[in-house]
Amino acid sequence: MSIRLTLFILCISLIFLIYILRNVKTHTLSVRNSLLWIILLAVIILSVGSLPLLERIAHFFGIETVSNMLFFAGFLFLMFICFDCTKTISRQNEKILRLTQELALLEKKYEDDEKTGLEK
Amino acid sequence: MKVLIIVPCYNEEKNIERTIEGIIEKGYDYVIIDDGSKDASLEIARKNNYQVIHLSNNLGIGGAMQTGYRYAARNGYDVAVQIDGDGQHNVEEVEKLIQPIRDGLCNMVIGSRFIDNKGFQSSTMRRVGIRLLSWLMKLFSGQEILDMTSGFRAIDKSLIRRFSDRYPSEYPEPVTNLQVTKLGYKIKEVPAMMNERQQGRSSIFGIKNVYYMLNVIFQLILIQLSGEN
Repeated sequence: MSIRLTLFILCISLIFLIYILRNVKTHTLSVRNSLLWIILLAVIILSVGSLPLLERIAHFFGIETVSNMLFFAGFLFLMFICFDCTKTISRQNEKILRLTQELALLEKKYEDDEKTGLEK
Repeated sequence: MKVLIIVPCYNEEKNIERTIEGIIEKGYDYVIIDDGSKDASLEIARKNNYQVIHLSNNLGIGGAMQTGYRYAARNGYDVAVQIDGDGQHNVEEVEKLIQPIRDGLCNMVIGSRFIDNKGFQSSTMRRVGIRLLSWLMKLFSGQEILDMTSGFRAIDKSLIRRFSDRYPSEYPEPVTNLQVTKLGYKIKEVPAMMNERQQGRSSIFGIKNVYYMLNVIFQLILIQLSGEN
Protein backbone atom coordinates (compact mmCIF):
# COMPACT_ATOMS: atom_id res chain seq x y z
CA MET A 1 0.00 0.00 0.00
CA SER A 2 1.43 3.38 -0.95
CA ILE A 3 2.13 6.00 1.68
CA ARG A 4 -0.36 8.28 -0.07
CA LEU A 5 -3.18 5.73 0.23
CA THR A 6 -2.31 5.01 3.83
CA LEU A 7 -2.45 8.68 4.69
CA PHE A 8 -5.72 9.07 2.78
CA ILE A 9 -7.40 6.21 4.71
CA LEU A 10 -6.04 7.50 8.00
CA CYS A 11 -7.36 11.00 7.30
CA ILE A 12 -10.85 9.73 6.42
CA SER A 13 -10.90 7.50 9.49
CA LEU A 14 -9.84 10.35 11.74
CA ILE A 15 -12.48 12.71 10.32
CA PHE A 16 -15.12 10.03 10.83
CA LEU A 17 -13.90 9.42 14.38
CA ILE A 18 -14.11 13.13 15.21
CA TYR A 19 -17.60 13.22 13.69
CA ILE A 20 -18.72 10.28 15.87
CA LEU A 21 -17.25 11.81 19.02
CA ARG A 22 -18.95 15.13 18.29
CA ASN A 23 -22.29 13.35 17.91
CA VAL A 24 -21.76 11.60 21.22
CA LYS A 25 -20.86 14.92 22.86
CA THR A 26 -24.02 16.60 21.60
CA HIS A 27 -26.09 13.54 22.64
CA THR A 28 -27.25 12.85 19.07
CA LEU A 29 -25.64 9.43 19.32
CA SER A 30 -25.62 7.35 22.47
CA VAL A 31 -22.30 6.07 23.82
CA ARG A 32 -23.60 2.52 23.52
CA ASN A 33 -24.40 2.91 19.83
CA SER A 34 -21.16 4.71 19.05
CA LEU A 35 -19.02 1.89 20.39
CA LEU A 36 -19.44 -0.37 17.35
CA TRP A 37 -18.36 2.39 14.97
CA ILE A 38 -15.38 3.34 17.10
CA ILE A 39 -14.24 -0.29 17.17
CA LEU A 40 -14.54 -0.42 13.38
CA LEU A 41 -12.41 2.69 13.01
CA ALA A 42 -9.84 1.34 15.43
CA VAL A 43 -9.60 -1.86 13.38
CA ILE A 44 -9.18 0.13 10.15
CA ILE A 45 -6.52 2.42 11.60
CA LEU A 46 -4.58 -0.49 13.08
CA SER A 47 -4.75 -2.63 9.97
CA VAL A 48 -3.69 0.16 7.59
CA GLY A 49 -0.22 0.13 9.06
CA SER A 50 0.22 -3.62 8.91
CA LEU A 51 -0.16 -4.83 5.35
CA PRO A 52 1.84 -8.06 5.82
CA LEU A 53 -0.48 -9.07 8.63
CA LEU A 54 -3.52 -8.42 6.43
CA GLU A 55 -1.97 -10.48 3.65
CA ARG A 56 -1.40 -13.34 6.05
CA ILE A 57 -5.00 -13.20 7.28
CA ALA A 58 -6.31 -13.12 3.69
CA HIS A 59 -4.13 -16.08 2.85
CA PHE A 60 -5.40 -17.95 5.93
CA PHE A 61 -9.03 -17.56 4.81
CA GLY A 62 -8.14 -18.49 1.25
CA ILE A 63 -8.94 -15.02 -0.11
CA GLU A 64 -6.67 -14.03 -2.99
CA THR A 65 -6.21 -10.32 -2.43
CA VAL A 66 -6.31 -8.10 0.61
CA SER A 67 -8.79 -5.74 -1.08
CA ASN A 68 -11.25 -8.61 -1.59
CA MET A 69 -10.98 -9.51 2.07
CA LEU A 70 -11.56 -5.91 3.13
CA PHE A 71 -14.65 -5.65 0.92
CA PHE A 72 -15.99 -8.88 2.37
CA ALA A 73 -15.28 -7.77 5.94
CA GLY A 74 -16.97 -4.43 5.28
CA PHE A 75 -19.98 -6.21 3.85
CA LEU A 76 -20.25 -8.48 6.89
CA PHE A 77 -19.91 -5.55 9.22
CA LEU A 78 -22.71 -3.61 7.47
CA MET A 79 -24.93 -6.70 7.53
CA PHE A 80 -24.37 -6.94 11.26
CA ILE A 81 -25.17 -3.26 11.82
CA CYS A 82 -28.29 -3.57 9.63
CA PHE A 83 -29.53 -6.55 11.59
CA ASP A 84 -28.86 -4.77 14.85
CA CYS A 85 -30.91 -1.80 13.58
CA THR A 86 -33.82 -4.08 12.61
CA LYS A 87 -33.74 -5.57 16.09
CA THR A 88 -33.78 -2.11 17.64
CA ILE A 89 -36.72 -1.10 15.44
CA SER A 90 -38.70 -4.18 16.52
CA ARG A 91 -37.97 -3.46 20.18
CA GLN A 92 -38.98 0.16 19.78
CA ASN A 93 -42.19 -0.78 17.94
CA GLU A 94 -43.13 -2.92 20.91
CA LYS A 95 -42.43 -0.04 23.28
CA ILE A 96 -44.48 2.43 21.21
CA LEU A 97 -47.35 -0.09 21.11
CA ARG A 98 -47.32 -0.42 24.89
CA LEU A 99 -47.09 3.34 25.40
CA THR A 100 -49.98 4.04 23.03
CA GLN A 101 -52.12 1.42 24.77
CA GLU A 102 -51.30 2.68 28.25
CA LEU A 103 -51.97 6.28 27.23
CA ALA A 104 -55.34 5.30 25.76
CA LEU A 105 -56.32 3.28 28.84
CA LEU A 106 -55.30 6.12 31.15
CA GLU A 107 -57.26 8.60 29.08
CA LYS A 108 -60.32 6.37 29.35
CA LYS A 109 -59.89 6.04 33.11
CA TYR A 110 -59.53 9.80 33.43
CA GLU A 111 -62.71 10.37 31.41
CA ASP A 112 -64.62 7.80 33.46
CA ASP A 113 -63.41 9.31 36.75
CA GLU A 114 -64.39 12.75 35.54
CA LYS A 115 -67.87 11.51 34.62
CA THR A 116 -68.45 9.82 37.97
CA GLY A 117 -67.10 12.95 39.69
CA LEU A 118 -69.65 15.07 37.87
CA GLU A 119 -72.47 12.68 38.70
CA LYS A 120 -71.60 12.87 42.39
CA MET B 1 -70.37 -13.57 34.53
CA LYS B 2 -69.23 -10.13 33.46
CA VAL B 3 -69.15 -9.92 29.67
CA LEU B 4 -67.40 -7.20 27.69
CA ILE B 5 -67.81 -6.70 23.97
CA ILE B 6 -64.72 -5.19 22.37
CA VAL B 7 -65.33 -3.35 19.12
CA PRO B 8 -62.14 -2.55 17.20
CA CYS B 9 -62.82 0.32 14.85
CA TYR B 10 -60.75 1.93 12.14
CA ASN B 11 -62.46 4.40 9.82
CA GLU B 12 -65.97 3.04 10.40
CA GLU B 13 -67.96 6.27 10.54
CA LYS B 14 -70.69 4.75 8.38
CA ASN B 15 -71.10 1.54 10.38
CA ILE B 16 -70.21 2.28 13.96
CA GLU B 17 -73.54 3.72 15.12
CA ARG B 18 -75.53 0.74 13.82
CA THR B 19 -73.12 -1.73 15.42
CA ILE B 20 -73.08 -0.02 18.82
CA GLU B 21 -76.83 0.65 18.96
CA GLY B 22 -77.37 -3.10 18.41
CA ILE B 23 -75.05 -3.91 21.31
CA ILE B 24 -76.66 -1.34 23.64
CA GLU B 25 -80.10 -2.71 22.77
CA LYS B 26 -78.97 -6.14 24.00
CA GLY B 27 -77.66 -4.61 27.21
CA TYR B 28 -74.05 -5.78 27.00
CA ASP B 29 -71.08 -3.84 28.37
CA TYR B 30 -68.91 -2.78 25.46
CA VAL B 31 -65.94 -0.66 24.59
CA ILE B 32 -64.95 0.71 21.20
CA ILE B 33 -61.24 0.76 20.46
CA ASP B 34 -60.76 3.55 17.98
CA ASP B 35 -57.51 2.66 16.25
CA GLY B 36 -56.54 6.21 15.33
CA SER B 37 -59.33 6.56 12.75
CA LYS B 38 -58.84 9.33 10.22
CA ASP B 39 -62.56 9.78 9.59
CA ALA B 40 -65.27 10.92 11.99
CA SER B 41 -65.59 7.58 13.87
CA LEU B 42 -64.23 9.03 17.10
CA GLU B 43 -66.38 12.18 16.93
CA ILE B 44 -69.48 10.05 16.31
CA ALA B 45 -68.64 7.85 19.28
CA ARG B 46 -68.01 10.84 21.57
CA LYS B 47 -71.13 12.65 20.36
CA ASN B 48 -73.26 9.62 21.21
CA ASN B 49 -71.56 9.17 24.55
CA TYR B 50 -70.36 5.69 23.62
CA GLN B 51 -67.69 3.94 25.69
CA VAL B 52 -64.59 4.56 23.63
CA ILE B 53 -60.85 4.17 24.03
CA HIS B 54 -58.92 6.28 21.61
CA LEU B 55 -55.51 5.12 20.39
CA SER B 56 -53.37 8.07 19.36
CA ASN B 57 -51.38 5.90 16.91
CA ASN B 58 -52.80 3.36 14.53
CA LEU B 59 -51.68 0.04 16.03
CA GLY B 60 -53.45 -2.37 13.70
CA ILE B 61 -56.04 -4.94 14.67
CA GLY B 62 -53.72 -6.81 17.06
CA GLY B 63 -52.66 -3.76 19.04
CA ALA B 64 -56.25 -2.48 19.16
CA MET B 65 -57.69 -5.78 20.39
CA GLN B 66 -54.95 -6.11 22.98
CA THR B 67 -55.93 -2.69 24.35
CA GLY B 68 -59.47 -4.04 24.72
CA TYR B 69 -58.23 -7.17 26.49
CA ARG B 70 -56.16 -5.07 28.87
CA TYR B 71 -59.21 -2.96 29.62
CA ALA B 72 -61.21 -6.15 30.24
CA ALA B 73 -58.51 -7.56 32.55
CA ARG B 74 -58.24 -4.35 34.58
CA ASN B 75 -61.98 -4.07 35.00
CA GLY B 76 -62.54 -7.65 36.09
CA TYR B 77 -64.42 -9.04 33.11
CA ASP B 78 -64.85 -12.82 32.84
CA VAL B 79 -65.53 -13.01 29.11
CA ALA B 80 -64.42 -10.77 26.25
CA VAL B 81 -66.12 -10.92 22.87
CA GLN B 82 -64.76 -9.33 19.72
CA ILE B 83 -67.27 -7.76 17.36
CA ASP B 84 -65.84 -5.86 14.41
CA GLY B 85 -66.97 -2.27 14.00
CA ASP B 86 -67.95 -2.81 10.38
CA GLY B 87 -71.25 -4.57 11.04
CA GLN B 88 -70.02 -8.01 9.84
CA HIS B 89 -70.93 -9.79 13.05
CA ASN B 90 -74.40 -10.22 14.52
CA VAL B 91 -74.80 -9.18 18.11
CA GLU B 92 -77.78 -11.59 18.36
CA GLU B 93 -75.27 -14.43 18.16
CA VAL B 94 -73.08 -13.29 21.03
CA GLU B 95 -75.00 -15.49 23.46
CA LYS B 96 -74.11 -18.56 21.38
CA LEU B 97 -70.46 -17.64 21.74
CA ILE B 98 -70.59 -17.11 25.48
CA GLN B 99 -72.59 -20.22 26.41
CA PRO B 100 -69.82 -22.84 25.96
CA ILE B 101 -67.50 -20.70 28.14
CA ARG B 102 -70.23 -20.37 30.76
CA ASP B 103 -70.62 -24.15 30.71
CA GLY B 104 -66.87 -24.50 31.23
CA LEU B 105 -66.46 -26.42 27.97
CA CYS B 106 -63.66 -24.33 26.51
CA ASN B 107 -61.52 -21.19 26.79
CA MET B 108 -62.28 -19.73 23.39
CA VAL B 109 -65.29 -19.85 21.11
CA ILE B 110 -65.06 -18.92 17.45
CA GLY B 111 -68.10 -17.91 15.44
CA SER B 112 -67.66 -19.79 12.18
CA ARG B 113 -69.12 -19.08 8.73
CA PHE B 114 -68.28 -22.51 7.44
CA ILE B 115 -70.23 -24.85 9.72
CA ASP B 116 -73.72 -24.12 8.45
CA ASN B 117 -72.46 -22.27 5.38
CA LYS B 118 -75.10 -19.63 5.84
CA GLY B 119 -74.76 -15.89 5.34
CA PHE B 120 -71.84 -14.11 3.70
CA GLN B 121 -69.15 -16.62 2.76
CA SER B 122 -66.41 -14.30 1.43
CA SER B 123 -64.70 -14.63 -1.96
CA THR B 124 -63.59 -17.96 -3.46
CA MET B 125 -59.94 -17.01 -3.28
CA ARG B 126 -60.20 -16.17 0.39
CA ARG B 127 -62.09 -19.37 1.14
CA VAL B 128 -59.33 -21.39 -0.49
CA GLY B 129 -56.79 -19.53 1.64
CA ILE B 130 -58.78 -20.10 4.82
CA ARG B 131 -59.09 -23.80 3.99
CA LEU B 132 -55.32 -23.98 3.60
CA LEU B 133 -54.89 -22.38 7.04
CA SER B 134 -57.36 -24.88 8.53
CA TRP B 135 -55.39 -27.71 7.02
CA LEU B 136 -52.15 -26.37 8.51
CA MET B 137 -53.85 -25.93 11.87
CA LYS B 138 -55.03 -29.53 11.80
CA LEU B 139 -51.62 -30.74 10.71
CA PHE B 140 -49.74 -28.81 13.42
CA SER B 141 -52.12 -29.23 16.35
CA GLY B 142 -54.62 -31.93 15.47
CA GLN B 143 -57.46 -29.51 16.13
CA GLU B 144 -59.94 -28.70 13.38
CA ILE B 145 -60.91 -25.05 13.02
CA LEU B 146 -62.86 -24.25 9.88
CA ASP B 147 -62.94 -20.46 10.12
CA MET B 148 -59.34 -19.64 10.96
CA THR B 149 -59.61 -15.92 10.23
CA SER B 150 -62.89 -15.24 11.99
CA GLY B 151 -62.68 -12.22 14.25
CA PHE B 152 -65.97 -13.09 15.90
CA ARG B 153 -64.54 -14.69 19.04
CA ALA B 154 -65.19 -14.97 22.73
CA ILE B 155 -62.48 -15.75 25.27
CA ASP B 156 -62.51 -16.55 28.96
CA LYS B 157 -60.63 -14.96 31.83
CA SER B 158 -57.48 -17.04 31.49
CA LEU B 159 -57.08 -16.02 27.86
CA ILE B 160 -57.96 -12.39 28.62
CA ARG B 161 -55.03 -12.42 31.00
CA ARG B 162 -52.74 -14.07 28.47
CA PHE B 163 -53.75 -11.81 25.58
CA SER B 164 -53.34 -8.69 27.74
CA ASP B 165 -49.77 -9.72 28.16
CA ARG B 166 -49.01 -11.10 24.71
CA TYR B 167 -51.00 -10.70 21.55
CA PRO B 168 -49.61 -10.65 18.01
CA SER B 169 -49.77 -7.30 16.24
CA GLU B 170 -50.47 -8.86 12.89
CA TYR B 171 -52.81 -11.65 11.80
CA PRO B 172 -53.80 -12.28 15.42
CA GLU B 173 -56.69 -14.69 14.79
CA PRO B 174 -55.00 -17.59 12.98
CA VAL B 175 -51.76 -17.11 14.90
CA THR B 176 -53.40 -17.19 18.34
CA ASN B 177 -55.62 -20.12 17.33
CA LEU B 178 -52.52 -22.25 16.88
CA GLN B 179 -50.58 -20.75 19.79
CA VAL B 180 -53.25 -21.28 22.43
CA THR B 181 -54.17 -24.75 21.19
CA LYS B 182 -50.55 -25.78 21.52
CA LEU B 183 -50.56 -24.39 25.05
CA GLY B 184 -53.46 -26.64 25.96
CA TYR B 185 -56.33 -24.13 25.89
CA LYS B 186 -59.57 -25.47 24.42
CA ILE B 187 -61.19 -23.88 21.37
CA LYS B 188 -64.70 -24.57 20.15
CA GLU B 189 -66.36 -23.42 16.97
CA VAL B 190 -70.02 -22.56 16.75
CA PRO B 191 -71.97 -21.70 13.59
CA ALA B 192 -72.38 -17.97 12.97
CA MET B 193 -73.86 -15.89 10.20
CA MET B 194 -71.79 -13.04 8.92
CA ASN B 195 -72.93 -10.08 6.91
CA GLU B 196 -71.09 -8.55 4.06
CA ARG B 197 -69.50 -5.30 5.15
CA GLN B 198 -72.24 -2.71 5.18
CA GLN B 199 -70.17 0.24 4.06
CA GLY B 200 -66.58 0.76 3.04
CA ARG B 201 -63.91 -1.73 2.11
CA SER B 202 -62.42 -4.51 4.15
CA SER B 203 -58.86 -3.86 5.23
CA ILE B 204 -57.66 -7.01 3.44
CA PHE B 205 -58.27 -6.96 -0.28
CA GLY B 206 -56.76 -7.74 -3.70
CA ILE B 207 -53.08 -8.52 -3.92
CA LYS B 208 -52.81 -7.98 -0.18
CA ASN B 209 -54.78 -11.22 0.22
CA VAL B 210 -51.91 -13.22 -1.19
CA TYR B 211 -49.39 -11.36 0.94
CA TYR B 212 -51.60 -11.88 3.98
CA MET B 213 -51.81 -15.62 3.35
CA LEU B 214 -48.06 -16.02 2.82
CA ASN B 215 -47.38 -14.12 6.01
CA VAL B 216 -49.84 -16.11 8.08
CA ILE B 217 -48.56 -19.43 6.73
CA PHE B 218 -45.00 -18.37 7.49
CA GLN B 219 -45.97 -17.43 11.05
CA LEU B 220 -47.83 -20.70 11.63
CA ILE B 221 -44.81 -22.65 10.43
CA LEU B 222 -42.57 -20.58 12.71
CA ILE B 223 -44.78 -21.33 15.70
CA GLN B 224 -44.68 -25.00 14.82
CA LEU B 225 -40.91 -25.04 14.42
CA SER B 226 -40.01 -22.95 17.43
CA GLY B 227 -42.70 -24.28 19.70
CA GLU B 228 -43.28 -20.62 20.54
CA ASN B 229 -45.59 -19.86 23.39
